[in-house]
Parts: sequence; C-alpha cells; structure tokens
Amino acid sequence: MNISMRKINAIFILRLQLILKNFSLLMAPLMAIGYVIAFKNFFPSNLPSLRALTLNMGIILNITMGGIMFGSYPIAEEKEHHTLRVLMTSSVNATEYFIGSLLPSLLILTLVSIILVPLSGTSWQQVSIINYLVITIICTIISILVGFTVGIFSHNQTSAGVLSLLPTVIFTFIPMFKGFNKTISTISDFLYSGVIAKFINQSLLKHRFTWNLFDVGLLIVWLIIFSIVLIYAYRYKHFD
Amino acid sequence: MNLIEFENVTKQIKNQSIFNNISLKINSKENIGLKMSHTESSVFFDLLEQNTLPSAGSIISHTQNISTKRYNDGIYQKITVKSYLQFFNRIADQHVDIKKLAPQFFLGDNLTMKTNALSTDQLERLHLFRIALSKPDLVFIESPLRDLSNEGVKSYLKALEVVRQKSTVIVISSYMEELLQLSSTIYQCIDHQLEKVDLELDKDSSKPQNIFRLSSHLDDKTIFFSPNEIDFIESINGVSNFSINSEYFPSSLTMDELEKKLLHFGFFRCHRSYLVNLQRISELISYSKNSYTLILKNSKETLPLSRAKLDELKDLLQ
Repeated sequence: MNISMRKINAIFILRLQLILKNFSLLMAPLMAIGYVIAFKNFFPSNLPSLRALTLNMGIILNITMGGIMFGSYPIAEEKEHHTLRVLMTSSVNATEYFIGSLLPSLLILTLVSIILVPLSGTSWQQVSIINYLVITIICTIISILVGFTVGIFSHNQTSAGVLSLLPTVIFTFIPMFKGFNKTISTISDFLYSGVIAKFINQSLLKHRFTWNLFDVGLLIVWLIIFSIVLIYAYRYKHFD
Repeated sequence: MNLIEFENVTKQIKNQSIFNNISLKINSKENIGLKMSHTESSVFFDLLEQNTLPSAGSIISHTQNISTKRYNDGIYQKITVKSYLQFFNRIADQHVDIKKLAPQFFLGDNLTMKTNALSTDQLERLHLFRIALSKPDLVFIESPLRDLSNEGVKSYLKALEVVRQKSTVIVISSYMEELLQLSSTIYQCIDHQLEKVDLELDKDSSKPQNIFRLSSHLDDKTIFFSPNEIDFIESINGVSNFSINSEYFPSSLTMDELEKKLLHFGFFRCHRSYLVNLQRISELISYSKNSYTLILKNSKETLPLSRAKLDELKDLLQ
C-alpha cells in the first residue's frame, strides 16, 4: 500500500482546522484544564499527594477521555455527513486517513498534557520531561486507536458517544480511583492509563520514576492490541 | 477511447435481482444518462467504487481516474469554500488555480464564505468544482439537478460544460426530465436490464409531438412525470399523490380523473384510494379469504386490493 506524505499533510491540516472549530470535541481537554485550575484553587495546599491527585486526574481525563473522543467523533461525524465516502473515493487510502487524523489529535492532546504540569503547580524538576512525553504520547496514541475503533462501529455521533462510554469509564476512572480500593489498584496496574498514574505518583511522592520491564511491556502490549483490533475492525467494517 | 465496460453484469442482493446481465460501454466524451431507481443507482455506485462485487459478469475499467458524486454526498462544515477546495487540490496534487477557476463555477465571490452558509445551488456547484480539481477521466454524478432552483439549474449546466471539457460525465437519475437536460444518450433500467431510450423519434418531425405527462406543483416549480415512472397513486385526505421511488408528489386531479386518464397506460383502481401501475406489481398475497395485498417491485410499499377487484385484476394480468 502506497502512503503519500502529501495526502497525510492535507488531511492533517484539514483535521486540525475542523478540531479547532469543534467546541464539543475540545470539551475533554478544556475540562481537564478547567479541572486542574479549579482543584488547585479550591485546595491551595502544597501537599505532594494533593498535587499528584490533581495532575493525575487532569492528565488521565485529557489523554483517555480526550483521546477516545478525538478518535471516534470525527469518524462518526464524517459518516453522518457523508464526507468520509467523498474522501475515500478521492484516492485517499485508510492508512493515510488514520495517520492524517491521528497526528493533529496527538498534537493538541500532548500540548494540553504539557500545559497541565505547570497549571497543577508542579515543577518540571519533579517530573522528567522525557519520560513524561514518552508516556503521555504512547498513551494518547493508544486512546486515539481505541477511538478510531469505536468510530468504525458508530453510525453517527450519538452512537459514538454511547459506544465510547465503556472504554472511557474503564481507562479513565479505574486509574483515577486506584487509591480507593486494592482491587481497583491492581486492575489499574494492568491498564495503559495506569502507567500514567504510577508515573505521576512515583515522580511526585517518591521523587523518582524508573522504567521497569512490566510498564514498558504493558504499553507495548496495549499498543499492539489496539493496533490489531483497529486493523481487524477496519477489515470487517471498512467505513460503512 | 473506451473508459469503462460493464460486461453481462448481474447483481443480486438477498435473492433479489438488482441488475440482470447488463452490458454497457462508455467511451470518452459520451454524454450518457442512466435512468435508474434509487436502489439500482445505489448498487451501481457500490459496484463502481468496488464496495461490492458483481454476482456475475465483470466491470473492466480502462482508467483509474474515476470520480463519483452521490446524491447525498456531504461537504465539510465550518470551513471556508477556499479551504475546502484547497484540501482537495492538495489531495489531487494538480496545483489548480482555485481563484482563477472559481468564476466558471459561479463561486468567484463565495471563496471566503463558510461552506455551511452556501445555498443548495452553490453546494452542488462546489461538489462539481471539487471533482474538476482532480481532472478525472470519468465522472459519475447522481441526480445533480433534483433540488436546484431554476437559476441554479442554468448555472449548473454551464459549470458542467467546464468539467466536460476534460472529463466524460455520466449522469444517473430516476427522472427522465433531468437526464434529458444533461445527456444526449439515455439508457433506462427496465426489469433489471439496461435499454437504450430512443431519443431520435422527435427529431424527424418538424413539430414536437404531444406527450402525455402528469404534473405536480411543488413550491415554485412544476414537476412532470411520465406515467411509467409512477409506482402507484394514493388518495390521502382527498388529495391524490403520485408515489415515485417512495417519494410522494401531490396532484391537482381527483382519483376518478386520474383513473380515466391512466386507464390506457396500464393503471388499475385496486382500491377506492389506490391506483396501481400494473407493471410494478410483483406479488399478490392473500392473508385471509377476503383480504388481499399487492406487493410492488423494488419497493417496500404494499397496497390493499378490494375483494371485488380481484377477478378483474387477474384478468388484466393474464
């Protein structure tokens, strides 16, 4: 399959324009920013555990909820308005479409993830920026892949909203509430979004985060699983 | 030059025949129109776009540069006309000067407008402009004039001529009137087969012949129908309505007047409120001793049949 950088670039520019004009889509990253600002102002204490909780919730909300929304809603909207068929009959192939659609979402969500750190009152000296970027970028890509799969199975934006509820709840709320229950904490350790929570907690509470084979393997496994799921979903459903 | 060939193409969906052994060769610069029902045209586009394969026969394409425009194709909202066209210009990699070409599509002063602010007439021309950017060898367009105003039709026809300078455009519609405006050769899908419509008849006589047409007034326009386009006529609240491809068009004539006029065109009063085109009947179902229902071809509609009319209908269908 030929992949044209020119077409990916064209889709990237279009998708970026459409995302920036879609307020309902921007709600997830804006909610994450709003949440972090509100939490910081309501609880001005400088307790590391409170800052870790604030940053954790903001980032997970942005990456998982935002990623799934950014992946699913545009595909569902294109199906609803019959624009996807026009695009796919204009010599664009599925790989070019997915890459061109993934990049602007990744760019916006990563920028928001970077902004959230200073907004939560955390210094970059406490969080390794390289590790932070690696983890947030990989997790955002996984969330967008989940979103793409949901989008493939959705007929319109309403069904995309309904279908994305379950993965959003699983990948957003389990790591968020891992401190409340041991079982939830154990499940969270096996989720890709759980790695974010672990990284923030270790960076802010233990002042160091070291990569271990389990976390690296976990991210790779989730990335491979959702890549395969997306490929099979596309082969099975296409953009019907 | 032969652009695409349909060789004995048969397509069946759920045991229902949509196309039966159709053959068609489309040569460069031919202005062909295809008269098809909505279902047939949808399957035809699916075959063209290779979303589905023919049940039998083959489609041989001698060009890869084919564009299609279905009736309900959409346009990205909230971006400007220029951004929309620039996107497809980048995809096509043809480096067309959009500003220079826009006046030929009557969109010269609309480039900075948002696409969602465009009228139906302008949207249809924008689709045409988008197609022109990729300079395709062959274009298939479905019912482009259906929703256009009188002025919109005039502008569209001029814009279409611009596209036809470089591309062969095939129009697919369920309305003969639309095809007559857009094509010089018309094929009609009858009983799942394509038959060429003889348009030469009228050319020999110096005076146009009288053609029987039924009319329906909708807003500021009058739509004319050939009797063979009508599936059935239903009286709803005292108003007669033509049912064509599941769409209803009101008529100013009463059911009795229509029955008299259409008697010789194969219409039958199957019920006090229904006149059915006999050619469209596919099944007669009896649910009980005194209850009969007519099922129509390529339609989900069912019509009641009066007990008293059963024998008369059976005689007509023999």
